Amino acid sequence: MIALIDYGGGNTKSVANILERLQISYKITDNPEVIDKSDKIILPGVANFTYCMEQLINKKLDLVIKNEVLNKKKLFLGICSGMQLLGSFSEEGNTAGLNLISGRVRKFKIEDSKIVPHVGWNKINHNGDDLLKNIGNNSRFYFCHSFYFDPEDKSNIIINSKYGKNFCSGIKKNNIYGIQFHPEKSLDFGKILIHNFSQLS
Amino acid sequence: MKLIRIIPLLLANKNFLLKGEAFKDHKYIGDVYNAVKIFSEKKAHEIILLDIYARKENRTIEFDLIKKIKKEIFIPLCVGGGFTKAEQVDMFIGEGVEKISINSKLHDDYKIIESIAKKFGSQSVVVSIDVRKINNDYIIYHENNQKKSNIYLETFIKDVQNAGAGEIILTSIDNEGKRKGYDLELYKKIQNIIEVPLIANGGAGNLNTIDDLLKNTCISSCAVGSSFVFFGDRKAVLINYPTSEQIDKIFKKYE
Repeated sequence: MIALIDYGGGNTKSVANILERLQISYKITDNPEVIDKSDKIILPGVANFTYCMEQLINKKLDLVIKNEVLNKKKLFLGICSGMQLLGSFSEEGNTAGLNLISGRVRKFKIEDSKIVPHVGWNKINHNGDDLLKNIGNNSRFYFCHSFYFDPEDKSNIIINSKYGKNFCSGIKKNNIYGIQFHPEKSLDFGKILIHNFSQLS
Repeated sequence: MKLIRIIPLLLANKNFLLKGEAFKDHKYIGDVYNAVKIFSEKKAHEIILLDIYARKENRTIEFDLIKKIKKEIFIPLCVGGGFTKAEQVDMFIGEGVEKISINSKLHDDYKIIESIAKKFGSQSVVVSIDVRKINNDYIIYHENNQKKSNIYLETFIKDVQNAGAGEIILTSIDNEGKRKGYDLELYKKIQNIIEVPLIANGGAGNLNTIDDLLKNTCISSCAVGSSFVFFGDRKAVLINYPTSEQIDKIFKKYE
């Protein structure tokens, strides 16, 4: 069972809809006991970074997630803001993140791309990780964001995309994954990616 | 580089799909739920759904309808109609709606943009602006072409960007529904002050009219109403969207 973390960061329902469609067992939850019983965790998110962190801390979910991911080594997927929350620090509100993967969340600079947020169906290039099985390079996913994760250790990057300049659109460190785009809004490739995550072990 | 989006824009009164011309003569042409489902199957980049009767009837776009739609489609959805308070937005975002379009109340109050952006991020707030060309000037009208605004278009765009709008839909009321092409002058006039994605709306005809917009302005996103729901000069109702091959060609041309 996948624990789909419900912390008020929005978008939980869209991810639930795709899990439902793929008949993958999941529970929408903020309850540590339910999360304890899960074998994987998805942290969705579309909201503002500071707001998301506040919500996680208020519900003590930051500690729960750290324990599940670092001590119990559960597979974890952060989507959009859920990926950014993995970082050490975000320029959005100058807030500290979960610090599960070292790195900063930065805003797209006007010199690189005049129009921010980056919205639309952009291409991804990946390193062949199992999360991207049966998804070719240059496949398109839906992006919608103003900030991106810039990990300290570049070997954590598994997917790159280009908006004015190249940026990290997917990261992995051990059992922890994060993707900047929205598989739940990306038609067939999105379904394949979520299916792949459900099959990882 | 441009990242192109071609977006069906649907007008509704509850679950009734409507279409008119220049914001008038709205006729019932089908049902919203089915139309949205077909656009999703045709891999539309996104869907904008606006309930143009909501404000008048003092309600928002129907929550149950949106809930039903969100279960069926796996592409981004922007909804609008009757949103005047930030609290009304929560349940829609909670149901997985990506973007809320705000129009009427704005002229008195930018706070709704600020509060949605602060809570859900700028990318979830879309401000819809409708303009009419009068004596070579673009005048903003709100509440479905009923009320004239005294704010300059450029000033208003800057203000909503500063308040935290993540996108703007800029509609030419004059061209809407006529399928003769976008008002290129309008988009050229404002392209230098745009800092967030701007969706051009009003006048899309065949793919050449879209290409004219993309080629001659800085705009990379466009909404299409009539041309995606009508076929031919006699306006037979037929939900249509460019094929994947046609879309790929447009992507490549502008990338």
